[in-house]
Amino acid sequence: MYKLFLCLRYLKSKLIAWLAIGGVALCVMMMLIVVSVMTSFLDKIEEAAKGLFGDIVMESAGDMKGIAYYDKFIEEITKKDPEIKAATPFVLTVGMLRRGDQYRESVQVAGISLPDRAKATDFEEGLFVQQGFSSPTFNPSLDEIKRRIAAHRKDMFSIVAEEFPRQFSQLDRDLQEKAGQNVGILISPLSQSCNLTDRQANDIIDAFDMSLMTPEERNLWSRLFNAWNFQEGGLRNLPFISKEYLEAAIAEAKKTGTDGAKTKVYKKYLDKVRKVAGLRSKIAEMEKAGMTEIDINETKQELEHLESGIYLRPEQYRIILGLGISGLSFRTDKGKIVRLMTPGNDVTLYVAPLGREGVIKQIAPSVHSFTVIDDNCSGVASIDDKMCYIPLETAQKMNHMDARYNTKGEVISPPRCSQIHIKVAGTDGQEGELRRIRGKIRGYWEDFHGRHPDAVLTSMSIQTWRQRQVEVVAPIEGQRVITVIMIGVMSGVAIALIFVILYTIVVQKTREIGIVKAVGASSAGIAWLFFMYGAVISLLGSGLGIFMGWLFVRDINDIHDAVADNYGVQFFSRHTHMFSTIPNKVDWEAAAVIVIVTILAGLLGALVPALRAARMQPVEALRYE
Amino acid sequence: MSNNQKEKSCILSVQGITRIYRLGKVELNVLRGVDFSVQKGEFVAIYGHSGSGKSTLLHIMGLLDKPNSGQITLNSEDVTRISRGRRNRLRNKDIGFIFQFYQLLPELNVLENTCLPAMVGASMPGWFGIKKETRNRAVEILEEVGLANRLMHRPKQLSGGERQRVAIARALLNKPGILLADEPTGNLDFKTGKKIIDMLQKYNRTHGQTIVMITHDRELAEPVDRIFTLQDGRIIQQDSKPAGK
Repeated sequence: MYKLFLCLRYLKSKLIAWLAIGGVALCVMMMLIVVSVMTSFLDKIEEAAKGLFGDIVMESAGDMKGIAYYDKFIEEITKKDPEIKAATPFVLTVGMLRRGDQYRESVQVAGISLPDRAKATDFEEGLFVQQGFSSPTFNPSLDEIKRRIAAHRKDMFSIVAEEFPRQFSQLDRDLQEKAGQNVGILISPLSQSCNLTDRQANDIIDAFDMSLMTPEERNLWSRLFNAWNFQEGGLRNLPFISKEYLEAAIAEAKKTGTDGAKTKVYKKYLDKVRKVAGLRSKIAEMEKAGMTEIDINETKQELEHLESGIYLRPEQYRIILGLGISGLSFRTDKGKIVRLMTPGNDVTLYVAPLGREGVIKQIAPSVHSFTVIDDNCSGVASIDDKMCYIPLETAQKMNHMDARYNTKGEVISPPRCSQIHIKVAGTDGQEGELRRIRGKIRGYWEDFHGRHPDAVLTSMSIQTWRQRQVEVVAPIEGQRVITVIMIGVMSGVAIALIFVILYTIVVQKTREIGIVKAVGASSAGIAWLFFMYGAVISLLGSGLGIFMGWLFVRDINDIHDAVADNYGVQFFSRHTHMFSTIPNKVDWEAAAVIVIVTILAGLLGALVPALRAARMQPVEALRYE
Repeated sequence: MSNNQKEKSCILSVQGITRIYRLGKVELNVLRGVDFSVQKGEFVAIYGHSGSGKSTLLHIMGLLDKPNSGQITLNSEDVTRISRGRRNRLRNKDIGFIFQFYQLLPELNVLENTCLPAMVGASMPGWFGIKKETRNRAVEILEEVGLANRLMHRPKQLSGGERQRVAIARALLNKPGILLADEPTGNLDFKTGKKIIDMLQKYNRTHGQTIVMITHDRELAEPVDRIFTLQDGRIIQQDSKPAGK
């Protein structure tokens, strides 16, 4: 009984014990934070990679000509094997995005098939307009787009309120409320649609005077300004999302006859629409007549000019941008996203047609204008910031992977894709399971390839998502190993800490140990007393450390922002990092390991002093001064 | 209780006790064959100058140390070569210690210090069974030694005399057969020391508590029944008080 009693009493009255507990807690907290952040970092990358490309990726190895008869193969394996939940073709090539004369950015162009892709990957989860839709398409509803843009503008308002508190607070309450409804009044107060009085407009102009802003503020303000204008441009195009929609609107207006002014506008556009249709058929005729790209190009440009600003392009010329493509969207320092290129805007895409020949033989790239219809954030910035998605057939055409026919109309070359992404049923992405299924798929492929020898020209590479992501994952795995070593060192520190403290206490308590022994305590009892003391210190320390670590990890982003705001130290750059926020998931498995290791370390540290105390002869202990 | 009534049986006897300390190559014969015995209910003093071996003798009697040769008998049991566990138990139940430097635990208050021997002797479930009883007994003894209003004080809040009285209360808690006091007044002024001796004597008289006290001050040893004088590791003299004193 005295063991527990004295142990608790020593804890209560010894400051040094609390220092030890604090020290252990700090060690544990640091370990937990580092391990949790690293692990969730890795998990997030893995998740994102899996979400992007499915569980298993098939790719023709060594050439860019791709896989033919992919649809047959997909149909075969999904029918044959219940473990294969879904599979979807994927075209991957390189290209360049252009907008006006100012903007050019090289990108990777992915041809995807919607909505099938949502079955094989988590593509839909990262979409802006169609987020979480089970069947995303290249033709989302107008209302949905408008709703999302309106929501996005609310976000922009919160960015202004958050990033420009000094300027914002100069406005009177009425204006602040108005800005909450429509952030546009802050960005372009003189625009007529804002309905502001001259005085109010002047108040805003005075408050948000760019010449009084810090360079960072000025930079952000002008970017918001650009984003606003782009969004406005996109919104202007949105009413005319399709020719059919436009024609239906005109018919409706004619029938009711109520909205004369609107009908007039529609009619004006309808004229243009008819011209566009004329130009399109002209181009088609020119192509049929075998004229070269250079001959047709002028007409094409005329068409493009006419098309933009009338209505959104037909479904095959819609594009989903990766979120974070430089110049098209950006993140603020606080991690909020601002989109310049919202749905409704047009971009021009140049694709290097590598598909058929495998090398660029033709100087002229495939060019077409696309309407942005959505954007996608997989979570891996290094992928998102250079990826854009267009319909599979369009990508095949532009990349020269589409079917070719002879003069008799017979297929001489079937359409091809670059990769097949496969979703496996039932597994949680466990590597062992996936490798087993990969083996099966390889078998199916060999069988299929025997029947269709021209399906690929070289060999087929079949990899699990983890194998594919090795390049990204390996360095982080390496860092995790370093972390484990760090944990080892920290455990050493914890042992040393507990050892030193207990040793000090044992030396201090030598006489008291003598007394307790004199009144009949056994050596084992004394050893237990100090052993228990060490255990309690490490238990309390690790408990406290886990708690503090949990708090820290949970609020890591707020803490980081507070440090960044107050001291200007930024450890985690949202512009360059993969994720918008520092991962803040506590790794409870690791936490359990850390606690166990710490307690074992503490016991080890307590062992030597406890044995020393136990061995002490009472007579000597009593004489000890 | 009269002296005659106390003469019942021998509670402790030591025979031919030697104790040699080795300091490097030098051998130090601290005890060179000590024989004496203590009767139940006796108050005995061992007197000697410093270095005479009296503390060593007390430690051997108290089973804190082992002799090189000789025999110790406690309650008719030869305890010279018993197991460590048995020694611990005997120290806990049958022997009470009072030390020159009080030897209280600074983290515990007066009451807790007093209860320590009972706590050491009990298992955790056992302790909850005897806790109340022990507490009552501790309070009772502390009242007897005049510390009733000091129960919750820490040792450092007490005077030297008070501390020694706590030590006495602790030593008496388990009703030991024999109380061993190692210079209980050594650290106190004469007047306070005298009070402590009086208290021991009173306890000896009223409760028949057997006490062996070590002292280097003959004057303080006056009230005891017998005084053994220890010199150079041997008992050279034994003085008895007249009965009835």
